[in-house]
Amino acid sequence: MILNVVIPLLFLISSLASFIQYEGGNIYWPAAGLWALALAVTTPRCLASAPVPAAAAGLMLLAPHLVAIIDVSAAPDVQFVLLPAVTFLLAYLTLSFRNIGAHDLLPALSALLSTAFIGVSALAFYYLDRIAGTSFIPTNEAFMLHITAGLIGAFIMYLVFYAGLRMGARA
Amino acid sequence: MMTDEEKELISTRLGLAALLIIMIASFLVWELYPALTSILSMAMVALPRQARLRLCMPLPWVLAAQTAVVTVLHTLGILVGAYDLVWWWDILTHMMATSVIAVAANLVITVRGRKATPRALPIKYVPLVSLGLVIVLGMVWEVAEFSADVFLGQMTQYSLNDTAVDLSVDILGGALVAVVIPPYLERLEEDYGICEVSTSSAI
Repeated sequence: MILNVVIPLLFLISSLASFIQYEGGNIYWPAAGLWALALAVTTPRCLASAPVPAAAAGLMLLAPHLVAIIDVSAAPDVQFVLLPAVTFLLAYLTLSFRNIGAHDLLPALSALLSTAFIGVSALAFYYLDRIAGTSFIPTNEAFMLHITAGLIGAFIMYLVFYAGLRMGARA
Repeated sequence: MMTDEEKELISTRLGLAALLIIMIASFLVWELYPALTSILSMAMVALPRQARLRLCMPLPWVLAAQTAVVTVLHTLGILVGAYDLVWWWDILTHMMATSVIAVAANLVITVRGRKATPRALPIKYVPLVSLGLVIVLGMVWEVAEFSADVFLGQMTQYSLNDTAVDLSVDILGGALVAVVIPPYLERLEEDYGICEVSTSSAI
Protein backbone atom coordinates (compact mmCIF):
# COMPACT_ATOMS: atom_id res chain seq x y z
CA MET A 1 0.00 0.00 0.00
CA ILE A 2 2.76 2.40 0.98
CA LEU A 3 4.54 1.59 -2.29
CA ASN A 4 1.57 3.01 -4.18
CA VAL A 5 2.47 6.42 -2.76
CA VAL A 6 6.23 6.22 -2.25
CA ILE A 7 7.26 4.99 -5.71
CA PRO A 8 5.29 7.52 -7.80
CA LEU A 9 6.33 10.29 -5.39
CA LEU A 10 10.02 9.31 -5.62
CA PHE A 11 9.71 9.18 -9.39
CA LEU A 12 8.05 12.59 -9.54
CA ILE A 13 10.62 14.23 -7.25
CA SER A 14 13.59 12.68 -9.07
CA SER A 15 12.22 13.64 -12.48
CA LEU A 16 11.78 17.25 -11.35
CA ALA A 17 15.25 17.20 -9.77
CA SER A 18 16.76 16.22 -13.11
CA PHE A 19 16.05 19.75 -14.35
CA ILE A 20 18.52 21.18 -11.83
CA GLN A 21 21.67 21.61 -13.88
CA TYR A 22 25.33 21.73 -12.90
CA GLU A 23 28.09 23.59 -14.69
CA GLY A 24 29.24 21.38 -17.56
CA GLY A 25 26.30 19.07 -16.91
CA ASN A 26 25.01 16.56 -19.44
CA ILE A 27 22.69 18.31 -21.90
CA TYR A 28 20.63 15.15 -22.44
CA TRP A 29 19.89 14.62 -18.74
CA PRO A 30 16.90 17.03 -18.59
CA ALA A 31 15.49 15.34 -21.72
CA ALA A 32 15.49 12.03 -19.85
CA GLY A 33 13.97 13.88 -16.90
CA LEU A 34 11.18 15.12 -19.13
CA TRP A 35 10.46 11.53 -20.19
CA ALA A 36 10.40 10.48 -16.51
CA LEU A 37 8.10 13.38 -15.66
CA ALA A 38 5.70 12.32 -18.42
CA LEU A 39 5.59 8.81 -16.91
CA ALA A 40 5.16 10.17 -13.38
CA VAL A 41 2.22 12.35 -14.43
CA THR A 42 0.44 9.96 -16.80
CA THR A 43 1.04 6.54 -15.21
CA PRO A 44 1.52 6.88 -11.43
CA ARG A 45 -0.41 3.67 -10.66
CA CYS A 46 1.57 1.67 -13.20
CA LEU A 47 4.80 2.89 -11.58
CA ALA A 48 3.68 1.36 -8.30
CA SER A 49 3.05 -1.93 -10.09
CA ALA A 50 6.69 -2.06 -11.25
CA PRO A 51 8.43 -0.94 -8.04
CA VAL A 52 11.95 -2.27 -8.73
CA PRO A 53 12.68 -0.68 -12.14
CA ALA A 54 10.71 2.46 -11.17
CA ALA A 55 12.67 2.90 -7.92
CA ALA A 56 15.94 2.15 -9.71
CA ALA A 57 15.21 4.79 -12.35
CA GLY A 58 14.15 7.29 -9.68
CA LEU A 59 17.30 6.73 -7.62
CA MET A 60 19.50 6.94 -10.71
CA LEU A 61 17.94 10.29 -11.58
CA LEU A 62 18.76 11.47 -8.06
CA ALA A 63 22.29 10.02 -8.07
CA PRO A 64 24.06 13.10 -9.57
CA HIS A 65 22.62 15.27 -6.79
CA LEU A 66 23.71 12.78 -4.13
CA VAL A 67 27.22 12.73 -5.61
CA ALA A 68 27.19 16.54 -5.85
CA ILE A 69 26.84 16.75 -2.06
CA ILE A 70 30.35 15.31 -1.84
CA ASP A 71 31.88 16.67 -5.05
CA VAL A 72 29.94 18.96 -7.40
CA SER A 73 32.44 18.53 -10.22
CA ALA A 74 31.72 14.78 -10.37
CA ALA A 75 27.98 15.23 -11.04
CA PRO A 76 28.30 15.64 -14.87
CA ASP A 77 30.39 12.47 -15.07
CA VAL A 78 27.76 10.56 -13.11
CA GLN A 79 25.09 11.88 -15.48
CA PHE A 80 27.15 10.77 -18.50
CA VAL A 81 27.63 7.24 -17.13
CA LEU A 82 24.06 6.78 -15.91
CA LEU A 83 22.21 8.30 -18.86
CA PRO A 84 21.98 5.08 -20.95
CA ALA A 85 20.88 3.11 -17.88
CA VAL A 86 18.21 5.69 -17.01
CA THR A 87 16.86 5.82 -20.56
CA PHE A 88 16.83 2.01 -20.72
CA LEU A 89 14.78 1.83 -17.52
CA LEU A 90 12.41 4.53 -18.75
CA ALA A 91 11.99 2.62 -22.02
CA TYR A 92 11.39 -0.60 -20.09
CA LEU A 93 8.74 1.05 -17.92
CA THR A 94 7.08 2.74 -20.91
CA LEU A 95 6.84 -0.52 -22.86
CA SER A 96 5.69 -2.48 -19.80
CA PHE A 97 2.82 -0.06 -19.28
CA ARG A 98 1.78 -0.30 -22.95
CA ASN A 99 0.91 -3.97 -22.38
CA ILE A 100 2.53 -5.14 -25.61
CA GLY A 101 2.29 -8.80 -24.61
CA ALA A 102 5.71 -9.85 -25.88
CA HIS A 103 7.42 -9.95 -22.48
CA ASP A 104 10.34 -12.00 -23.74
CA LEU A 105 11.18 -9.18 -26.16
CA LEU A 106 11.01 -6.40 -23.56
CA PRO A 107 14.78 -6.17 -22.89
CA ALA A 108 15.58 -5.97 -26.62
CA LEU A 109 12.77 -3.52 -27.33
CA SER A 110 13.82 -1.36 -24.38
CA ALA A 111 17.40 -1.29 -25.63
CA LEU A 112 16.14 -0.26 -29.07
CA LEU A 113 13.87 2.46 -27.72
CA SER A 114 16.46 3.91 -25.35
CA THR A 115 19.19 3.93 -28.01
CA ALA A 116 16.82 5.52 -30.51
CA PHE A 117 16.01 8.18 -27.90
CA ILE A 118 19.73 8.90 -27.49
CA GLY A 119 20.26 9.13 -31.26
CA VAL A 120 17.23 11.33 -31.85
CA SER A 121 18.03 13.62 -28.90
CA ALA A 122 21.57 14.10 -30.25
CA LEU A 123 20.11 15.07 -33.61
CA ALA A 124 17.60 17.39 -31.93
CA PHE A 125 20.41 19.29 -30.20
CA TYR A 126 22.39 19.38 -33.46
CA TYR A 127 19.48 21.01 -35.31
CA LEU A 128 18.84 23.32 -32.36
CA ASP A 129 22.46 24.47 -32.71
CA ARG A 130 21.92 25.05 -36.43
CA ILE A 131 18.67 26.94 -36.01
CA ALA A 132 19.21 28.87 -32.77
CA GLY A 133 22.98 29.33 -32.97
CA THR A 134 23.62 27.55 -29.68
CA SER A 135 26.60 25.23 -29.23
CA PHE A 136 25.31 22.21 -27.37
CA ILE A 137 27.23 19.87 -29.69
CA PRO A 138 30.38 21.70 -30.73
CA THR A 139 32.21 18.86 -32.52
CA ASN A 140 31.70 15.57 -34.29
CA GLU A 141 33.65 13.91 -31.45
CA ALA A 142 31.12 15.16 -28.87
CA PHE A 143 28.27 13.85 -31.03
CA MET A 144 29.93 10.46 -31.49
CA LEU A 145 30.89 10.15 -27.80
CA HIS A 146 27.24 10.50 -26.80
CA ILE A 147 26.08 7.99 -29.41
CA THR A 148 28.82 5.47 -28.60
CA ALA A 149 28.14 5.70 -24.86
CA GLY A 150 24.43 5.26 -25.53
CA LEU A 151 24.97 2.13 -27.63
CA ILE A 152 27.37 0.55 -25.14
CA GLY A 153 25.19 1.42 -22.13
CA ALA A 154 22.00 0.11 -23.75
CA PHE A 155 23.76 -3.11 -24.75
CA ILE A 156 25.02 -3.70 -21.20
CA MET A 157 21.55 -3.03 -19.77
CA TYR A 158 20.07 -5.41 -22.36
CA LEU A 159 22.48 -8.15 -21.28
CA VAL A 160 21.64 -7.59 -17.60
CA PHE A 161 17.88 -7.68 -18.20
CA TYR A 162 18.11 -10.60 -20.64
CA ALA A 163 20.10 -12.59 -18.07
CA GLY A 164 17.51 -11.68 -15.44
CA LEU A 165 14.72 -12.86 -17.73
CA ARG A 166 16.48 -16.16 -18.40
CA MET A 167 17.15 -16.73 -14.70
CA GLY A 168 13.53 -15.89 -13.91
CA ALA A 169 12.36 -18.40 -16.52
CA ARG A 170 14.56 -21.16 -15.05
CA ALA A 171 13.49 -20.52 -11.44
CA MET B 1 4.27 -13.26 -67.00
CA MET B 2 7.21 -13.61 -64.63
CA THR B 3 6.67 -14.63 -61.02
CA ASP B 4 8.09 -12.63 -58.11
CA GLU B 5 10.66 -15.37 -57.53
CA GLU B 6 11.89 -15.14 -61.12
CA LYS B 7 12.13 -11.35 -60.91
CA GLU B 8 14.09 -11.72 -57.66
CA LEU B 9 16.45 -14.22 -59.30
CA ILE B 10 17.11 -11.92 -62.26
CA SER B 11 17.70 -8.91 -59.95
CA THR B 12 20.10 -10.93 -57.84
CA ARG B 13 22.05 -12.24 -60.83
CA LEU B 14 22.30 -8.77 -62.41
CA GLY B 15 23.49 -7.31 -59.09
CA LEU B 16 26.10 -10.03 -58.61
CA ALA B 17 27.36 -9.60 -62.17
CA ALA B 18 27.70 -5.82 -61.77
CA LEU B 19 29.51 -6.23 -58.45
CA LEU B 20 31.84 -8.80 -59.98
CA ILE B 21 32.76 -6.31 -62.70
CA ILE B 22 33.39 -3.59 -60.09
CA MET B 23 35.50 -5.99 -58.05
CA ILE B 24 37.66 -6.91 -61.05
CA ALA B 25 38.00 -3.24 -62.01
CA SER B 26 39.01 -2.41 -58.42
CA PHE B 27 41.70 -5.07 -58.41
CA LEU B 28 42.94 -3.91 -61.82
CA VAL B 29 43.50 -0.37 -60.51
CA TRP B 30 44.63 -1.85 -57.15
CA GLU B 31 41.94 -0.17 -55.05
CA LEU B 32 41.40 -2.60 -52.18
CA TYR B 33 38.59 -0.73 -50.36
CA PRO B 34 36.04 -0.93 -53.22
CA ALA B 35 37.23 -4.47 -54.01
CA LEU B 36 36.55 -5.67 -50.47
CA THR B 37 33.31 -3.69 -50.33
CA SER B 38 32.09 -5.35 -53.51
CA ILE B 39 32.78 -8.80 -52.03
CA LEU B 40 30.77 -7.90 -48.92
CA SER B 41 28.07 -6.41 -51.13
CA MET B 42 27.78 -9.69 -53.06
CA ALA B 43 26.92 -11.43 -49.82
CA MET B 44 24.28 -8.79 -49.14
CA VAL B 45 22.78 -9.10 -52.63
CA ALA B 46 22.46 -12.84 -52.09
CA LEU B 47 20.59 -12.37 -48.80
CA PRO B 48 17.01 -11.92 -50.14
CA ARG B 49 17.39 -15.10 -52.20
CA GLN B 50 18.78 -16.99 -49.23
CA ALA B 51 15.96 -15.69 -47.03
CA ARG B 52 13.48 -17.21 -49.50
CA LEU B 53 15.30 -20.54 -49.81
CA ARG B 54 16.56 -21.13 -46.29
CA LEU B 55 14.34 -19.08 -43.97
CA CYS B 56 11.02 -19.40 -45.81
CA MET B 57 10.80 -15.62 -45.92
CA PRO B 58 9.99 -14.58 -49.49
CA LEU B 59 10.75 -10.86 -49.63
CA PRO B 60 9.18 -8.51 -52.17
CA TRP B 61 11.27 -8.81 -55.38
CA VAL B 62 11.65 -5.02 -55.38
CA LEU B 63 13.69 -5.41 -52.21
CA ALA B 64 16.16 -7.72 -53.96
CA ALA B 65 16.37 -5.27 -56.88
CA GLN B 66 16.88 -2.31 -54.55
CA THR B 67 19.57 -4.20 -52.60
CA ALA B 68 21.39 -4.85 -55.87
CA VAL B 69 21.09 -1.23 -57.01
CA VAL B 70 22.20 0.31 -53.72
CA THR B 71 25.22 -1.98 -53.29
CA VAL B 72 26.29 -1.33 -56.90
CA LEU B 73 25.89 2.45 -56.38
CA HIS B 74 27.86 2.26 -53.13
CA THR B 75 30.82 0.25 -54.43
CA LEU B 76 30.87 2.16 -57.72
CA GLY B 77 30.73 5.40 -55.73
CA ILE B 78 33.80 4.38 -53.74
CA LEU B 79 35.69 3.24 -56.86
CA VAL B 80 35.09 6.34 -58.97
CA GLY B 81 35.05 8.79 -56.04
CA ALA B 82 31.40 9.76 -56.49
CA TYR B 83 31.09 10.33 -52.74
CA ASP B 84 33.54 13.23 -53.10
CA LEU B 85 32.36 14.46 -56.50
CA VAL B 86 28.56 14.31 -56.16
CA TRP B 87 27.18 15.92 -53.00
CA TRP B 88 23.92 13.94 -53.00
CA TRP B 89 25.51 10.50 -53.62
CA ASP B 90 25.87 9.83 -49.89
CA ILE B 91 22.27 10.87 -49.24
CA LEU B 92 21.00 8.68 -52.08
CA THR B 93 22.81 5.54 -50.92
CA HIS B 94 21.95 6.09 -47.26
CA MET B 95 18.26 6.59 -48.07
CA MET B 96 18.08 3.53 -50.34
CA ALA B 97 20.05 1.30 -47.98
CA THR B 98 17.97 2.38 -45.01
CA SER B 99 14.69 1.67 -46.76
CA VAL B 100 15.92 -1.82 -47.72
CA ILE B 101 17.01 -2.49 -44.15
CA ALA B 102 13.75 -1.08 -42.80
CA VAL B 103 11.62 -3.41 -44.95
CA ALA B 104 13.76 -6.40 -43.95
CA ALA B 105 13.58 -5.32 -40.29
CA ASN B 106 9.78 -5.08 -40.46
CA LEU B 107 9.52 -8.60 -41.85
CA VAL B 108 12.00 -10.12 -39.40
CA ILE B 109 10.33 -8.42 -36.44
CA THR B 110 6.90 -9.54 -37.66
CA VAL B 111 8.08 -13.16 -37.76
CA ARG B 112 9.89 -12.95 -34.40
CA GLY B 113 7.01 -11.00 -32.88
CA ARG B 114 4.55 -13.77 -33.76
CA LYS B 115 6.63 -16.21 -31.69
CA ALA B 116 6.82 -13.90 -28.68
CA THR B 117 5.54 -14.99 -25.28
CA PRO B 118 3.15 -14.83 -23.51
CA ARG B 119 1.44 -13.10 -26.47
CA ALA B 120 2.51 -12.14 -29.99
CA LEU B 121 3.74 -8.61 -30.54
CA PRO B 122 0.76 -6.67 -31.99
CA ILE B 123 1.37 -5.89 -35.66
CA LYS B 124 0.75 -2.17 -35.06
CA TYR B 125 3.99 -1.97 -33.05
CA VAL B 126 6.15 -3.64 -35.72
CA PRO B 127 6.80 -0.51 -37.86
CA LEU B 128 7.72 1.47 -34.73
CA VAL B 129 10.08 -1.22 -33.47
CA SER B 130 11.60 -1.45 -36.95
CA LEU B 131 12.09 2.30 -37.02
CA GLY B 132 13.92 2.01 -33.70
CA LEU B 133 16.08 -0.77 -35.14
CA VAL B 134 16.87 1.31 -38.23
CA ILE B 135 17.92 4.27 -36.05
CA VAL B 136 20.14 2.00 -33.95
CA LEU B 137 21.71 0.42 -37.03
CA GLY B 138 22.36 3.90 -38.39
CA MET B 139 24.08 4.79 -35.12
CA VAL B 140 26.14 1.58 -35.23
CA TRP B 141 27.18 2.43 -38.80
CA GLU B 142 28.30 5.91 -37.76
CA VAL B 143 30.24 4.49 -34.80
CA ALA B 144 31.93 2.01 -37.15
CA GLU B 145 32.89 4.85 -39.48
CA PHE B 146 34.13 6.95 -36.56
CA SER B 147 36.17 3.98 -35.28
CA ALA B 148 37.68 3.45 -38.74
CA ASP B 149 38.71 7.11 -38.78
CA VAL B 150 40.17 7.09 -35.28
CA PHE B 151 41.88 3.70 -35.22
CA LEU B 152 42.63 3.02 -38.90
CA GLY B 153 43.33 6.58 -40.04
CA GLN B 154 40.50 6.52 -42.62
CA MET B 155 38.44 9.55 -43.70
CA THR B 156 34.89 8.21 -43.76
CA GLN B 157 33.25 10.93 -41.62
CA TYR B 158 33.95 14.34 -43.04
CA SER B 159 32.33 16.49 -40.35
CA LEU B 160 29.62 16.77 -37.72
CA ASN B 161 27.32 17.98 -40.48
CA ASP B 162 28.03 14.84 -42.54
CA THR B 163 27.35 12.53 -39.58
CA ALA B 164 24.14 14.31 -38.59
CA VAL B 165 22.79 14.39 -42.16
CA ASP B 166 23.57 10.66 -42.61
CA LEU B 167 21.71 9.81 -39.42
CA SER B 168 18.82 12.09 -40.33
CA VAL B 169 18.49 10.45 -43.75
CA ASP B 170 18.54 7.03 -42.07
CA ILE B 171 15.67 8.07 -39.82
CA LEU B 172 13.78 9.57 -42.75
CA GLY B 173 14.11 6.33 -44.77
CA GLY B 174 13.01 4.24 -41.78
CA ALA B 175 10.07 6.55 -41.09
CA LEU B 176 8.98 6.44 -44.73
CA VAL B 177 8.87 2.63 -44.64
CA ALA B 178 7.09 2.70 -41.27
CA VAL B 179 4.34 4.79 -42.86
CA VAL B 180 3.80 2.71 -46.01
CA ILE B 181 4.42 -0.87 -44.82
CA PRO B 182 1.53 -1.61 -42.37
CA PRO B 183 -0.98 -2.76 -45.07
CA TYR B 184 1.67 -5.12 -46.52
CA LEU B 185 2.42 -6.60 -43.07
CA GLU B 186 -1.25 -7.16 -42.37
CA ARG B 187 -1.57 -9.17 -45.61
CA LEU B 188 1.28 -11.56 -44.73
CA GLU B 189 0.24 -15.17 -44.33
CA GLU B 190 0.16 -16.70 -40.86
CA ASP B 191 2.97 -19.18 -41.64
CA TYR B 192 5.25 -16.53 -43.18
CA GLY B 193 8.81 -17.28 -42.03
CA ILE B 194 7.91 -20.53 -40.28
CA CYS B 195 7.23 -22.90 -43.17
CA GLU B 196 9.40 -25.88 -44.19
CA VAL B 197 12.81 -25.09 -45.68
CA SER B 198 12.78 -25.29 -49.48
CA THR B 199 15.78 -26.60 -51.42
CA SER B 200 14.56 -25.57 -54.86
CA SER B 201 16.48 -23.54 -57.42
CA ALA B 202 19.56 -21.85 -56.02
CA ILE B 203 21.27 -18.72 -57.35
